[in-house]
Amino acid sequence: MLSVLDYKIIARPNNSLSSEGAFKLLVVLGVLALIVAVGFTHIGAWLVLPFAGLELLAFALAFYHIRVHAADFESITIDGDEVVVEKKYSRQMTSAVFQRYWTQVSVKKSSGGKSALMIGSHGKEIEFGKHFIDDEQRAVLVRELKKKLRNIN
Amino acid sequence: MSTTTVAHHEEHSDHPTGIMRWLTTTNHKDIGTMYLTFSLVMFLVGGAMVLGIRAELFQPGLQLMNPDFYNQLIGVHALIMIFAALMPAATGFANWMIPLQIGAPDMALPRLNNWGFWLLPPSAILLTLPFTLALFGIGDGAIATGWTFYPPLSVQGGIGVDFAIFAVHLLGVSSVMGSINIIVTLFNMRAPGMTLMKMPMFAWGWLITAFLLVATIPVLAGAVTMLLTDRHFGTHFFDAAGGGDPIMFQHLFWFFGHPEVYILLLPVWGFIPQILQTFSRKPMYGYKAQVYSLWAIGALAVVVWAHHFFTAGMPVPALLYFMYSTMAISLPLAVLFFCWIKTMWRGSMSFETPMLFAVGWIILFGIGGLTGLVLADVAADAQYHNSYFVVAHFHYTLFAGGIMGIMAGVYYWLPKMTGHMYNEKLGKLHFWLTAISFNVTFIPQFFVGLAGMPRRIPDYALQFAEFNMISTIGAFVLGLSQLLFVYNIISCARGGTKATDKVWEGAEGLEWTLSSPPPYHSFNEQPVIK
Repeated sequence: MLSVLDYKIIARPNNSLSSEGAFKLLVVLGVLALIVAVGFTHIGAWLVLPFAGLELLAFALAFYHIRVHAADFESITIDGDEVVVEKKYSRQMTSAVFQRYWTQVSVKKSSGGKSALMIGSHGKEIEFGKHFIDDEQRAVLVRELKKKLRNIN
Repeated sequence: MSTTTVAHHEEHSDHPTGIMRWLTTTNHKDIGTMYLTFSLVMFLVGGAMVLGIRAELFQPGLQLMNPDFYNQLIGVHALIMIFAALMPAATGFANWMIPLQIGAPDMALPRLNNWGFWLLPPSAILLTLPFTLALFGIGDGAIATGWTFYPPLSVQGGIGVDFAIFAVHLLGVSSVMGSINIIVTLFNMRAPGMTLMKMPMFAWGWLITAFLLVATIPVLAGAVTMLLTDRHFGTHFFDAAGGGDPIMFQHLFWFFGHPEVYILLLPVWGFIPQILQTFSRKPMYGYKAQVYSLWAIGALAVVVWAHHFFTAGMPVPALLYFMYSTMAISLPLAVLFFCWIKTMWRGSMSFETPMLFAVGWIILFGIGGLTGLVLADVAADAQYHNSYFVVAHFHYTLFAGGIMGIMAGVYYWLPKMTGHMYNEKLGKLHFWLTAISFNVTFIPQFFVGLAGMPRRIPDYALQFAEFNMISTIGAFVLGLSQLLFVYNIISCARGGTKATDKVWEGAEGLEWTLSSPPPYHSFNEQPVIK
């Protein structure tokens, strides 16, 4: 008889700003910068305007970057005899399913000293936690995953 | 089912070592350390320049340098102290402390953070290179217009002006990058439960600073670009003979220049209350009142600029408006002073070095504020404008209010940053030498200013000799006593008594929940604020 232990770990960034909030904030910053720039353009200092525009463009790009990555996550789900690894980064979604009995986890060190948490079986491997967890967390997670994967009676 | 969530942001999962750690780092603590180190080095460079200035003023007559070189020292000293010493110090603290205080693993845009810092060294080189080039017969030295770049002098000046214009552009880009990062970090990366009105006061001070930078940096960039085109591309923005208006430059410059004072001071107004509450061992008084006052000051900062050039001439209604609006800043500032004093009132106070600097800061910055009120008066300003009274006033504001505040912050957070306690006796000696010699330097300047000694001159009338001599002695003691500060910081970074995690008995806030020094990657587990 196989006892089933369900387990899920999700790695994702914390976002305290909603999309609506980001838009409102950008509007406030835009109004602030443009009032000043248009005012000075009105008295002849029109070269303020392009710099204000560049500044707003930089802010818009910054907010675009954080919104694009707001829903990023990586997860490992152990359910029954399946191990599902899902990753969403920017607009790209990938997932891989492994047989629980054969799944192996390990931390590989590259020549540059960076470590990568690899999970896989049957010659297929996928990296987990590249963007959201550090070396210390990787080591802890590998221990925990090995324990969960072994926990089969 | 057991579900675990770990929260971490991208781009800082590795821990590089060696020189590449510092060149390519995206870690907020590394970048904060680089900002603070750069600031300290430039503080010493700017300080060495002012010792040259004070040595020349030790006696009337020309002793050590020609007037043009004297003017170059004046201009570059100011630009370095404002843009390369004070601003990077505040940004260094922001990088170090804001993520720790709001429970974030790093700044929101770590690569942008790295670029923001690495724009600073080239701009410092651009500011000082013309001195070296002049030694080889290239150009006629650094910018000699003072930090204000006023035309027509700046239009006629040598290549030092061009170097300074490009330096200001780089510094402006760096500041905007810093502002973007701080605004995005504070809005997007606060730990769950940390609402805006639960943010530490330092975070509030920096948020308002970032908004001020957003409003004013494009104006400065536009102004110096127009200056550049007037110098080299035949435009006449500021040339009266060509239909331009030199006074317009003053409006543009001071629309940036006055808020710049608050850009330098608001971060300090943020962490001084935290120091006061720590060493008074009681909660901060009037948190909300302080937040609203900071916003009021931020709002007023951008509508009072013309008081810097009352004497350039403007219609009476404009004079009255700028006089009253400037004086209105004293209202929210008075609220802040009240809250700072009330925080200490009946507290169980102790006077470690950060507290000494914080209390000394309140008194000396108070003098800076009150003498500012005198200058805000149109009638009085007609006499004091461009006198040494102004020099003394803004040094009480920017040295006492800015740099001594930063020193309070350094002593407060240094054990947290390094993991070691600094030498308390040396710290206290540094405070007393700084506070006393600062007053010895600048009180005489109030007197000579009131008696009519103008600023930005290498020579002066005999009647001012004694006060100038006292001021120079004070300046040299002040300058040399900063070596104690440098020694204390270096020896603390190299070793010493191990600091506890909390460091100070009365310390409150998330940064004190981490180890001293904090781990390279902080908050692996997301803190939750109740």
